[in-house]
Amino acid sequence: MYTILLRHNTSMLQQVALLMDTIHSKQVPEELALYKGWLIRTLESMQSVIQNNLKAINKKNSNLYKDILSDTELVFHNLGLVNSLYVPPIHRSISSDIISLKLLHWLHNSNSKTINIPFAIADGSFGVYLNQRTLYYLPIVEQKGLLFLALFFHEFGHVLFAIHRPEMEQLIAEIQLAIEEFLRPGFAHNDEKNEDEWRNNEIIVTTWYRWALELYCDAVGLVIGGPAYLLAFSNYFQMGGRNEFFNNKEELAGSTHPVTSIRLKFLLSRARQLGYNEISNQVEEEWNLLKTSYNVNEEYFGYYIEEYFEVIEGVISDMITQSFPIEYNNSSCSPAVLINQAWQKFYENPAGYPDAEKNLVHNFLNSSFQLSSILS
Amino acid sequence: MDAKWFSLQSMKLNHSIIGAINTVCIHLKLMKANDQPLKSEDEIKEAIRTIKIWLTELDKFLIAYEQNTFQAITGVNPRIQQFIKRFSSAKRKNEFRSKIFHDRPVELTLLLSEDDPKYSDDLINSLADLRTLLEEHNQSDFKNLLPDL
Repeated sequence: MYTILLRHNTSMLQQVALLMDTIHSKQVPEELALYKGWLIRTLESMQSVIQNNLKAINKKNSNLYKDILSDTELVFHNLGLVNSLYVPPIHRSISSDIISLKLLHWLHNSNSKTINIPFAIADGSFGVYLNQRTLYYLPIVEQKGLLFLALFFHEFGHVLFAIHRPEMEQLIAEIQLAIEEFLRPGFAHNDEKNEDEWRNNEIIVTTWYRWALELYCDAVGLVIGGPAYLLAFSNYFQMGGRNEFFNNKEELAGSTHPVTSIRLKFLLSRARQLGYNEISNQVEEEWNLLKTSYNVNEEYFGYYIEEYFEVIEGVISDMITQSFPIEYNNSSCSPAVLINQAWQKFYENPAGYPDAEKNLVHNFLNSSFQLSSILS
Repeated sequence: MDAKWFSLQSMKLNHSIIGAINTVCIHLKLMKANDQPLKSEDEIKEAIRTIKIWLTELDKFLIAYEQNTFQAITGVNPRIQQFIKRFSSAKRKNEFRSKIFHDRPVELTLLLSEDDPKYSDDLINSLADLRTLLEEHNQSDFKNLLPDL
């Protein structure tokens, strides 16, 4: 065991040094400086853990080997994550990221609790990984344009959730308990059928932890991004087929996101409350046409019924109040306004949009003095 | 956002607890061998504090779950919920022999407060068994994030 532990810790120390060199040698835009600094500190702390492991190994006390093995595995896992998830955003850093980085910089600066959270962009389908830092995933095509950057506002909701986790989880519990109450059998009969029903209800209530989180993030997206978020959301999912309206019971169990049609109900309701009536009507009409075309029956097997709506919407509003995301204001100059302008141009003339977008990006990057004033 | 996010959150929590368990176990074993400690007193205290907080949380969720195993544990990340179920099942099936699987987890916090070496074997065995379950959980998070070749 001594030899195995010594070999792995020595090798990992060399790998950490290699990653350090890679990161130090990479020039990054100022928006990534915080992330780069965090990554270097993480690797330094890993070095110190490995050195501590080596000291323990050199005591040659076989009673300690299980504990040192466990510590070595922890470093191995961390190194795997750093190598595969956290270093690539620095390694891949490209100049065309600048719009996305400025948008994320603005978002993180909009809240005193996110201002010091390091962030970076990675290639992949939309998503966010967060811990003490945030990795925003974005597909290649969407990285190159403005329209779907609005979906970052949803991902930022996950960051706000993580910051306010204890209060947020209490609120989510309210939704879960209300749904549990709706689902509770009218009378308990002591048989297998009753047990199956309880099990099924447990799965539904557990699934709602994730669903409530996603509905909250949609609400955050709408609050920050205004109409652009609704349009980005709708266009992103619109060609997804029948599954955007219907999933079978097995797919719903433990799923990470509500069916899109459920998400849309909540989004449209909130959009109307925010005064985006015209655009909401337009989006709803389009989705109704698709639903008719698919001839789909919206059945959610107890995972969603209309009776849930009021309580869920109320709690989501409380979650928004708790986390206070920056509100969309079309009279200000912000990346959110820029993305709304982009959607307006796209809807006015889809064929001519690429040229219009180039102008919008050019003007945005040349108005850095305005951006600086927003950020300060 | 997908299940990987929950795995990452779960790994972060598990790493801090496993790391703390390792720190305490190594410290207790070195003390038994009359050897010099590897970590500072503050680091040991912090490790004990981390374990105590986790055991108190675990105890709370476990009570809620064992009162009615058909009911969901509300307001809890699904990965934590899975760990609670796994812990409860290991207890029910007598998979481990140490104190933590026969008393309530919170009882272990009392042992963590004891300086008396006569309790150290109980403590080391309980922490090692708890670590086995946490490592099992951690492995599956890791595989979810970085699948095998």
